[in-house]
Amino acid sequence: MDIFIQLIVNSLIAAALYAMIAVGFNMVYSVSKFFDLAYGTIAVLGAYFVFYFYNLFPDFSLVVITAGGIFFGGFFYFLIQKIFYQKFEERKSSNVVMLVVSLGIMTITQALVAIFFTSQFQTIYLNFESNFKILGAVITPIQVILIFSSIFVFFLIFLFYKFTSIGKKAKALADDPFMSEIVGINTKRIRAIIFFIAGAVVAFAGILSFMDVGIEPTSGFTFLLNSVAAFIIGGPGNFLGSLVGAVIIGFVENFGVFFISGQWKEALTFIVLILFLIFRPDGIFKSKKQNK
Amino acid sequence: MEYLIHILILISIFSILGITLDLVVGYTGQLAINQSVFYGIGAYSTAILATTFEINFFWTIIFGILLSATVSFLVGIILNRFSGDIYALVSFGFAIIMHAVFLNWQTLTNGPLGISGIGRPEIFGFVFSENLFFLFLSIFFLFVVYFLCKILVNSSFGRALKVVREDELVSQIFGYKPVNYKLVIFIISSSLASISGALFASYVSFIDPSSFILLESIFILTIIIVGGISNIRGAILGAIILIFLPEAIRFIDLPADIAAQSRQIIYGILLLVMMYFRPKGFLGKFRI
Amino acid sequence: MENSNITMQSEKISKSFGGIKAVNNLDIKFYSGKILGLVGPNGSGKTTLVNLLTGVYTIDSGKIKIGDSFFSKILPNKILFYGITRTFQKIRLIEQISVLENIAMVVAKKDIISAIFENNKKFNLNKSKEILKKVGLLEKQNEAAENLSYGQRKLLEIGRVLATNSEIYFFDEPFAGLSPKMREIISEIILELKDQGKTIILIEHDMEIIKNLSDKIFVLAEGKKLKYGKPEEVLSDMEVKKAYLG
Repeated sequence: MDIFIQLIVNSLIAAALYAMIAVGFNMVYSVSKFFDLAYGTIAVLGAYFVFYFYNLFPDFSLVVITAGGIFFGGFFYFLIQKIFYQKFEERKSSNVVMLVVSLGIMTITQALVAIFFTSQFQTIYLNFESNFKILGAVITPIQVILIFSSIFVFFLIFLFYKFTSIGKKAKALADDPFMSEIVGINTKRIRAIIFFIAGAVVAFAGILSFMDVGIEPTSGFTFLLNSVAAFIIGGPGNFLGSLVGAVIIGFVENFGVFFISGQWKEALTFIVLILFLIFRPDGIFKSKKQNK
Repeated sequence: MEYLIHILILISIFSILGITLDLVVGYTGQLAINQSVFYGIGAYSTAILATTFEINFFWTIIFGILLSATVSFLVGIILNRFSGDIYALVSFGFAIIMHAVFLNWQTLTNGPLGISGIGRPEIFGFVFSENLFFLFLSIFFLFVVYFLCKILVNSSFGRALKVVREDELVSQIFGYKPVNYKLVIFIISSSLASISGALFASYVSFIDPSSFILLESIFILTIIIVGGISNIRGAILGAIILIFLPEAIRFIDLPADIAAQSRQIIYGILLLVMMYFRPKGFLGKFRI
Repeated sequence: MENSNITMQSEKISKSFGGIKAVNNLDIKFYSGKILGLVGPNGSGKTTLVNLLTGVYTIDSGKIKIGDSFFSKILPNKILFYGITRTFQKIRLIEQISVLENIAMVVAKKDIISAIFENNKKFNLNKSKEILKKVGLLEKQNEAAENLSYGQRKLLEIGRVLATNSEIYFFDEPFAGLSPKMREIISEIILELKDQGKTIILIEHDMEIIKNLSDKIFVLAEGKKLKYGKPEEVLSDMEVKKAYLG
């Protein structure tokens, strides 16, 4: 019974992580309409930022360094959009071209990280007090922070879209790019802001994951795959769906791995994704708008 | 000289992979990122049959082709339901799933330990142990694949693919069934790709799952993006460029793993440059 | 008058898009050796109707009868087999292949095994060239379709349907934007088809052409039949005039 509870807790932890990344991915997809394969690497960049500066200045406040990492992630992603993606969007390149471009960026970024920090798996030692126990399952303080952060981020983004003027414009841009231009929304600026926020969110997720288990250059890809799966299962463009999708993926991963060997983790996620695509291609909720 | 022969063998093997991938990407217009699946099936078929059952190389190729055809039939049916981004993503998924199979079906594939001792091809008592002769064999297969694909592409089947690629509805109204065409070209592409795997396994005599990861599929995609989409010779050009270019780094003395990463950076830059300046590829005829 | 039979008809077919009935319980009949002019104000459902009858859209209810068989569903890749073909209001050629290939694709073998063994450059060329000669595009045979002028592209689409040798032809605004000379050529082709006993449905906005070519006119308004009859009667009818101007 203990194991069962532990699996549930682990699933929720995983879900929290993937949900954060999926939500950011959703934001990006909604304003640019393509799958950015480089998105996962931003998480890695945030994590390595913290790794580097915390090792350099071990007495510095970890919270401040984390904030720096979040900002760095947002800024870096904003730059990538400005320098690369925008050029292609201006030429109205197809989705497939954008996918290949993001593939290029992902490859380069990942390789650069591996050159500077080696391919080794890096961890960070945090001396927190002992772990918590919930109903017989163990959960570390960082994992608790992860879950609450995820909820917090979700809540913030909900407020952003509902109450800020930028958020509303971003929603308009997502729903109808053509009309948005016509009514005078500065789509370039909105896109840039969205990318910054999305970059910050995913960097935060990467930092938390780093503190939880550690990081290596290829971690970004794993983050990406699971979050894209959550995003698609939840229905592209559907924020709440991404949350549900993340929960599904989290549970499938942890329970699945318990019954089958650990090496099948990624494959399992994809098998579930492919099954969803075959039987429920619009996502778990019937989405009102079907984007290309 | 030995070194040059080695490079040429690699170029032949990857040219086959590029040509066969181009059959799908160039002629159906879909971004298939799963060539590593059939590359791997071909390699493991040869590896297992040659070492455990001592079956002749040439028979293992036939087996690999049949196995790839069967697997690609199933994969193709699923892929046919999708297009664009999702197609690319699902084909990704199959690459990852297949890699997990290679890694975990240990009784068959020996998992991460891999299979060693794969012998060189033998026919009528002659063994291709000299690399030079192996090169001839590789080029022979390259020519076979090249000519088969040429016939295919220049036939009514090839024209039908172009029609289906451009306007599925019109193709249907004038009597074509797009689903069948897309499936058949996918099966042909996958079956021929497995030949590369067989050659690779026999050449390096040891294989393990790490040669058949998703990254490999991306590499093969880069070959045709650079060389030219929807042009058979383009695939060969792409293979030449992509295999020669990183060799140029060898002249700069870099430690081993930085060299590997630098190669990745070059591929990434190539992708960006090609997409920006020439999305068709150097010799390509179809813009993605 | 010669024997004219019903080659195709619809029985109470309907199609809705998001709650709006584009085609509403429609009955329409098509006769061999006759040209039916299909007219109606913008948004009346003409193109939707043609799409329904050629398998591009599925009907929500009702039946379609082709020959002696009834269908509640028509698949687009079956219509050639049923003897139906069409042109498109917004020209849909295969841009990246040559003019000749655009015709050859219709004439070539479509089942995969035979298709693989038919060399593109050698087979089906004579028949294709004949068709091109008929529409006056033979000199352009090796040009990519995307390089043709607007009028030539329209002619190519006409050539394409001629190549099918079907029984029933739907022409969706074939005269739009063409010079009088081009219009002559196309009119002749359509009349020739009529002489061969083919069934022709012609959608057009130009009332002169419709009056001259059609045997009967069917006026569509809001997805329903407004009027059906001889050109002179229909075009002078008060209700018809109101539908266009009101």
